[in-house]
This record gives sequence, structure tokens and C-alpha cells, in this order.
Amino acid sequence: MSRRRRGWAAALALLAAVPWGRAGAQAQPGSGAIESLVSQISFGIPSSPAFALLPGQASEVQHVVTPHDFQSAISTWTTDGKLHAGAALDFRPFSTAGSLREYQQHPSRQIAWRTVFSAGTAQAADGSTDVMVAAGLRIPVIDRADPRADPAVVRRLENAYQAALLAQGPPGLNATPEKFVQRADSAAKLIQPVRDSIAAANWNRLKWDLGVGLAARAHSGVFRQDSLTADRGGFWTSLAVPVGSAIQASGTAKLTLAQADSAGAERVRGVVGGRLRVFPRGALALSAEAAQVFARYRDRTDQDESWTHVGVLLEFPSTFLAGFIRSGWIGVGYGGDLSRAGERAPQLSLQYAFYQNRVLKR
Amino acid sequence: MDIPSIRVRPGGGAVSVRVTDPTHPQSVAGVVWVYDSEQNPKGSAGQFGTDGPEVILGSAASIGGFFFQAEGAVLAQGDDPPSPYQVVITVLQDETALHRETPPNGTGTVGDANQPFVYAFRIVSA
Repeated sequence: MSRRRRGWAAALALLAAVPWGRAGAQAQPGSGAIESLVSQISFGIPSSPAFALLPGQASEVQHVVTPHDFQSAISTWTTDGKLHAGAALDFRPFSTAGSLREYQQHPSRQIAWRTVFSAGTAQAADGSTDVMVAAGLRIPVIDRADPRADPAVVRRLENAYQAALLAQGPPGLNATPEKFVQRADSAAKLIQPVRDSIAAANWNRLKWDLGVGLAARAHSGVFRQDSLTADRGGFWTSLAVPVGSAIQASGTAKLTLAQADSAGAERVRGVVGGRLRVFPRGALALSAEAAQVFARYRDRTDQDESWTHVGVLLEFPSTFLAGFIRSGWIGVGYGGDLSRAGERAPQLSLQYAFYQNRVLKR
Repeated sequence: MDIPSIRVRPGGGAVSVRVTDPTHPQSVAGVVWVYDSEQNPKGSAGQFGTDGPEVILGSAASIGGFFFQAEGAVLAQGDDPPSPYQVVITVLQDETALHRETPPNGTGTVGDANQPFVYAFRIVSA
């Protein structure tokens, strides 16, 4: 056994043996508990802020392309002035941003192009005839990993694609559509290593996203000004900053304000947090996060709560451990919620698990 | 497949083809293939991409009766939701557009997978 592997094995054994006070050490059969430790708090913004404000999400989201399509889609959401529940669409409001060259030269065009509008409807609650309708914007203000904004990245991909076609030689002039699909698939596979290399180099580039959404309740589903009441609004922001090539530092802030119509109903929920993700070399990965969560309730200040969530996860291939034959991943996590209302002691636990699909990815 | 014929002036200058998406910031790349008047492949006329969207096909006299085929793709950039594209193929002589067309499969949306297209045409010198 190498010195390094002996070290890992000893560290694991020690972690399992340490008496963690009130925290328990538990081996889990899969990655579920480990994953929840680092996924309870999202450090990005919702891909569609509107849907984050609805009680349920539509099974299918319509991707609308043109303003005309948008109008057509919206017109199908009502029948005789009543909203249907379960509709959802997203749309790039500024999709004619000019050529790629123009896009690369104008940051304002990049922001406009990346901005996505989303809207959706959902039944307010089981058995209710009210329908919730929400709209939102996701605005990636800065995205240094945007591949199309970097002429060098575009050039690398295009050169690779051209070379992949040239390597296949000329197709017949009357080749079948299936033949062209086959050639395109083959070219796509040949350029995948270039894509992977670009993704690996850009994984932690600077990013700043904003999201905003509003939701209203349509009483009895009637979509008319006098039947609509504001229900909730949300604001999200996230910032990811590179620290060298191996570390990403992220921060997030989220605030949801709700129209609480009864005592004890939640009216404010907020999250502020930070996370470090480290991929030093090889397949080793570490994630450490802390977030403060707070909730406020109407006319029940005694229910107001605020707690801290912490989570640390170390993940490495099982082959790091000598004698571990099955290939997969081992995750060792520690964390939980600190000082949550109604709980005297911090609810922290040590988890470790073996699983097939890695949890921490660049 | 019905291959369109594009008439060029025999005494005119060089003929070229430009392949771009002029209205969306999409990466469009590929190769223009040459075929003689018997439709036998003669190799590549050149490659098109963002840095060089135009491929010189040759003088009107030398390519009369030849067939050409632009084979390419709108390269995926992982857009979520998928973003729109519209490829426009323009055949030019002396920098004057003679023919402009969007190929079949040249319009739609692109997300995680490249969107390939192909467009064949014949140059007629008359």
C-alpha cells in the first residue's frame, strides 16, 4: 500500500471512529444523504425564476422563439377569460442580437441575448379554483465562460468541426439525409474532446447572474385586472469567482416576499451564503459551504426563525483506497443545520457513502 | 434532390459562396465540396466559419457546370433554453449577391446538439 493510500484509509477510519458529540456518523447506501448536504442551498439562480414562484411546475416548458410565437402561445393560456393551469414557456426577448462577430464586440448584446423571460401558471392548491400566474427574468450579467463570446474558443471549435468533415472526405452529391446525419454525428463525436477541454479550462470563470420574478393569484382562474392579486415576488443573485484554476468561490443571496393572508403564513424567506469548491488535481474534490436562512411569519413573530446551514464534502475515487476493488466514488460529508428554532442542539452529522456517479462536478 | 442552378456572367470575376447566420450570434462552420459536371467529387473548395464565412469557388469560366455542396452545422453552445438560428447561404460574383437562400434544416433552435445542414447548387456560366 502506498503512503498516500495508507493515509486516506487511516483518515476514513478515523472519521468513522471519532465521537462527534451530538453528531452521528452514518454510512449511507447511496449518494442521497451526501448529495443533500451540498444541494440544499442552490448557489445559482433558478433557470426560470417564474417557475420557482409557482406551487407546481408544468410537465413541459414551451421554448418560444419569435415574438409572434410568444403571442400565439400566450393566447392559448386562456379560454373565455379563464387561465389554464399547467402552462409554461420561456423566451429570449432579445434573440436578434446580430451576427456572432457583433455579439463578441458588444457586452450589452451579450447580456441581452442571454436574458431569458419565463412565465407559467399552476393551480394555487389542491382543490382550489384559483390559478397562480408568474413571470420572471433571468439575466446573466457577466459570463466569462460564455463560449460564443470568446473568438479563440469559437475558432477552436469551428476548426475542429471543419477538420472532422474533411477527414471524412466528400459526401456524394445525392447522399441521403441519413448519410448526412451520420457524418454530422461522427463530426460531433470527433470534436467532443475539444469541447471537454474548453469546458475544463472555463469551469470556474467569473459569473454574475440576476433573477427576478413576480406571481399573482387569479381568483377562480379569471384573468382580469380586478380578479388578480399580487401573491409573491422573488429576487436572486449569484456570483462565482475563480481563485486560480482549481478553486471557485461562490456567493448567493435570495429573497422571497409573499402576501401572507393569514396568521402564521410565511411572508419572507431569505438566504445568504457562500461556497468554496476545490478540484486540486486528479479526481479529488472538496466543497465547503455555509448559508444563513431566515423566515418571517405574519402575526406570529414567535415562529420567526433563522438558522445556519453548513456542509463540507470530500469526494474521491474508491480506487484511492488500497483493497477497494469496486470502482466508484467515496464521499465523506459533514454538516447540517445549526441553531434551528425548536431544536436545542445543532443537527450535524457525519456521513460517508460509496456510490457510482460523482456528486461534485466542475 | 432538385439542385438549383445559379447563373453567373462568363466574363465576370470570381464566384464565391458565403455561409453565415447574420441575425443571430451563432457559430456556423463547415466545408464547401466541389463536384465536376458529372457529379464526381473533386475535393474541398474551402472551409467556412466565423473568421472566414466566404469560400472562393473560382472564376466563372473555370467552374461553369460544376456542382458545389456546403456541408456544415450550427455548433451547439449549450444554450438553455435553445436559441434560434437561421443560416443564409449567399452566392456572389464580384461581391454582388446573385442568389440567397436558407437551406433545408437551416432554421430552428440549437441547444446541446449541433444542428447540421447541407445545401447543393450548380454554377451555370451563361
